[in-house]
Amino acid sequence: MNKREFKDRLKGFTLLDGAMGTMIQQRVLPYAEIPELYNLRAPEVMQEIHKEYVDAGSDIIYANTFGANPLKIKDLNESLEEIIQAGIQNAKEAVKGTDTLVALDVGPTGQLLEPMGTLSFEAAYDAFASVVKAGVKAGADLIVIETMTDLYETKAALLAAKENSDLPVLVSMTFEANGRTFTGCSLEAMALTLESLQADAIGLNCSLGPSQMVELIDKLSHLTSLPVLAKPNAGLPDPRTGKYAMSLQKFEEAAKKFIESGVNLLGGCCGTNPEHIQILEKLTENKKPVSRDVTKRYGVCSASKAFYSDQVGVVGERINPTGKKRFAKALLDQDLDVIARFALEQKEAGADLLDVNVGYPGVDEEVMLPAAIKKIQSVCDLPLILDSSNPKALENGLRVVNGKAAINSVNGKEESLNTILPIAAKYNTCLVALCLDDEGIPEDAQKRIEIAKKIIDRADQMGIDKKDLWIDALTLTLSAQQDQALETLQTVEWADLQGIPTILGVSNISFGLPLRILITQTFLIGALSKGLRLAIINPNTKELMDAVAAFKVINNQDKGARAYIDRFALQEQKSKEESRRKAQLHKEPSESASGFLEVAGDHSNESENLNSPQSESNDLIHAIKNGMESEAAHAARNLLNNAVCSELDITEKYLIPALDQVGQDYENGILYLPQLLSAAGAAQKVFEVLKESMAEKGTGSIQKGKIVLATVKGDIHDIGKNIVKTLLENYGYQVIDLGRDTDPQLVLETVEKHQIRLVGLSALMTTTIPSMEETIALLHTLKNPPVIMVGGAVLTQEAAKDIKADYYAKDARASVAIARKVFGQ
Amino acid sequence: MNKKVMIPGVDLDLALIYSGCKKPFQNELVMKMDQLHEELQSSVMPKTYWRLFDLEFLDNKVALKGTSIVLEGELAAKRLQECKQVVFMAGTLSIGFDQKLASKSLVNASDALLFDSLGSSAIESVMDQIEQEIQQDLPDIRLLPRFSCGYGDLPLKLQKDLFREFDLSRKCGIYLSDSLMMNPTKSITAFAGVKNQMIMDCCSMETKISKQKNHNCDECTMKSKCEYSKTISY
Repeated sequence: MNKREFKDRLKGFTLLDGAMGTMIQQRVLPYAEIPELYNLRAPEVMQEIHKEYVDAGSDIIYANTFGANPLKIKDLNESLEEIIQAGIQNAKEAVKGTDTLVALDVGPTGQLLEPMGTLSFEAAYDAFASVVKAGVKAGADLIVIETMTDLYETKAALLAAKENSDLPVLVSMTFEANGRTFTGCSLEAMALTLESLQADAIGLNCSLGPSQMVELIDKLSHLTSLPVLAKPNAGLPDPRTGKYAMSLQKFEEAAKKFIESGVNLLGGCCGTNPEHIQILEKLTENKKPVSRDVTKRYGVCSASKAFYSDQVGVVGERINPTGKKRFAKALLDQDLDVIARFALEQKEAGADLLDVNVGYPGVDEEVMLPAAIKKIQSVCDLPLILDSSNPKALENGLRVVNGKAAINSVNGKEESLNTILPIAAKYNTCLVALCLDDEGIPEDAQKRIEIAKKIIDRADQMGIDKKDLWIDALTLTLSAQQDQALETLQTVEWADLQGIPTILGVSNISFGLPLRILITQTFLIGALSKGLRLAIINPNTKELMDAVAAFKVINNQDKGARAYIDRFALQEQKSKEESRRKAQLHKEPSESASGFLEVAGDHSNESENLNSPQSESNDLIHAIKNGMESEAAHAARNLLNNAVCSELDITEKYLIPALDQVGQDYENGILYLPQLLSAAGAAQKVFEVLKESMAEKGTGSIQKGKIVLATVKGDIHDIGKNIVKTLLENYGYQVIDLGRDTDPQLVLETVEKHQIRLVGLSALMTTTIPSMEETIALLHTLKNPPVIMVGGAVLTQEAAKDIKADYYAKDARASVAIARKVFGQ
Repeated sequence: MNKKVMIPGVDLDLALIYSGCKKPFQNELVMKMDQLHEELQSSVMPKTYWRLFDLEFLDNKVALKGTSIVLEGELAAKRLQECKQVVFMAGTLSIGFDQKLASKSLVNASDALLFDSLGSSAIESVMDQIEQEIQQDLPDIRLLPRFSCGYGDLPLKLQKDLFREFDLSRKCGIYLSDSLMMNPTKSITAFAGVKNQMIMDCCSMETKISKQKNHNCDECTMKSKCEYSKTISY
């Protein structure tokens, strides 16, 4: 059956099958490690079960291959190919003489994917690719990916299916009653992402009984124009017996509602049997599915947040090394934490999407862009715009996006059209289209529009819908080309009339003029009123964010002005807290540490400080001791600006003594770990200021020694390690943090590459001490092995000795003492 | 704005103790914990699962009838010695907690520490809630204090069997690593012996004991090394 035939078939009702697990249990077969082994050990029984579903009316039966995944079967003697081959064969035997199709059933890997889990996206893809290849070889008619709760894993499976076979693919995910999966995936994100990856039908299965699924199915059927599938459980199991006891009548009532919502594909999951399929057969025989009126909405998404481009939104522009020496240095040092912080800070400030640009001389974009994306996705749920002109970097990045992204950008030049359009078409991304070509930026709206039309036309030839294009009419500087502002606005207006979304960076407009912010703000408002959808700005710029917030009320996007009212109530509250904290800073320092009620993301412009250097340094010490981050940073900046102290002076004379004193108070039980860490947090902010200053001057960095930290292989707990890292950095050490679940080989390679003299390893449980031992043994194979300190809840002095570590760090402060010993301070 | 409380009864004092603080807690710490608690409630979606089983006693082991689960060792034997049934429970704060913790770790180490401790306290409250739900469903029974793999001599490797038997990744979104760690990190699996209500009411002393908190330092193999044993009184 080819794709066209399959698509036609899906226009009518298609009945899937019911549960396999409960049917197997009823037959009381001898124990098998996984039910898929029955494909080989009891083929006739499997064929019987399949036949029952075929006879009941199933148009598609799922082969018994749900758990046949390399990661799940690794301890078995039987091979993946054998199990899948037998599974497909049994199903094919059962459908002989009918036109029922056999689906390769692809279930989850059973492991949690990164970033929260330890299975990489690439490893998941590889596992699914082997399953798909085996299924194709065995002769499956189609592929079903089901019971997925992680959109990232679903993407890996769907990509693997599409790239390793020509078979149609149905995808169903498992949602909870609250409308999200376990990993927080929303229906909107599911629909946008799976459509972009070209699933042939999408839907829901498992977890919920039919009545609970009805509402979600109805919502999904309005979010996609793809055929929709519903495969609910037979109600909820009784915890006293484990049995599903929903009446067939209730199942039928819910099935009717699915049909009303326009569902084409129907079946049953856990607890169902051929009787349920018979009911569905009765309800759908000789009938046509209800046609759905779906208004397609275009946009991008993360795994949990969708942004539709028919709305106004803010694109955070700060992840970009241009003009940011500190950021550029972080890229060159591969310090992904800095990138992640920029992402979080912009989200906090109200950005709706993030532009991600890691292009800089000396940075390998093809490696850095996907790495940056993975890191950002681990802490931030905003949809992403990948900003690069390197096609390989874009492709590498797009593969690892969890959701649907946009590319920034294509333009009217032949080279750009030929390299960028195919990538956008392959991954069905949104695409920023710049109105410039080989002749440069045109001088009027008419020429810009012509370029836009050319791009739209070429994109259309590649199957890219014009509403997935975001036209960028380009902002020029008023002081250089004053007449161009109106041309830009006209172009925006034209695009809006075509129903095509627009995007614009606005900061350029005011370069060289006094009171820049007023010009930029007015231009922004002008563009919004002409139909601009996406404004690329620094979300920390209050005036611009205020303008967007106000406009969203005017264009009826912010219903009831709720967000607007909340925003200004919050601003007032923050400003009151800011005054209170400033007043506290200038009072007498109290004996016990206090005042670490820090409001995150405080970026309001601070006024000139007219205090003397002496009082500035007192302020600095006081702020550090009390964990007052923005005050500490401010005091450090003032000391530097007044050219009173060098960066090294500030570190040695104020920062470290302040930390030492806090440490002393901690030892004496005057304050506790949270307060110690607050002080460390404030010190970290000071360090950021010093690093920025040194990067600007090009004067190198304060560095007392490099230390590698890692949580060992098999261990995912890193709070303790992160605390150690914070403290070590604050004492001037450079920490290379290898993260969690760290391969011993990676530790070795890093030590060799950076000539590391001190390594810190952490483990939480007895089960991961062997990994620690292995890592230490590997490091000891070096000619000049580093000093190794170990820590973690389960470690003791004796245990550390047993595994041949050099030091046992009972807490974070001890690790600082060890570092001082090792580096001789 | 009415904010829904996903997990009632979270013990914030316990969370502060887990963070290394001692009573009396400073006001700023208490206020900070309150603020983080609000954040926690809006970022978690707890998921729970429970099953009731008859017990079979064979030699030194206790088996859950109809499953492949066998509990070995003294702790299980002692806790279940007078029971005919046992409840198996699993709960998790879900991945939303770990996602939130990851962002906090990047921005503010103190908040991250407090939030992590809060999560440890909150998951215990989730388990308390499961027990309450079970009591409502089964009013004729009472649950004895719960216990988990890793308590006393109940082996951690039993977790592998539990995850396979109950398919917890599918049921609750909890995954077990090869090193026997659960992910999301704030997840708990536990057993609780079941006793007939009438028998318990006849033995008022036993009822008193069962009303104590679930933790019992006497059975714990880490009791000589644990710093919390000095600060938490049961």
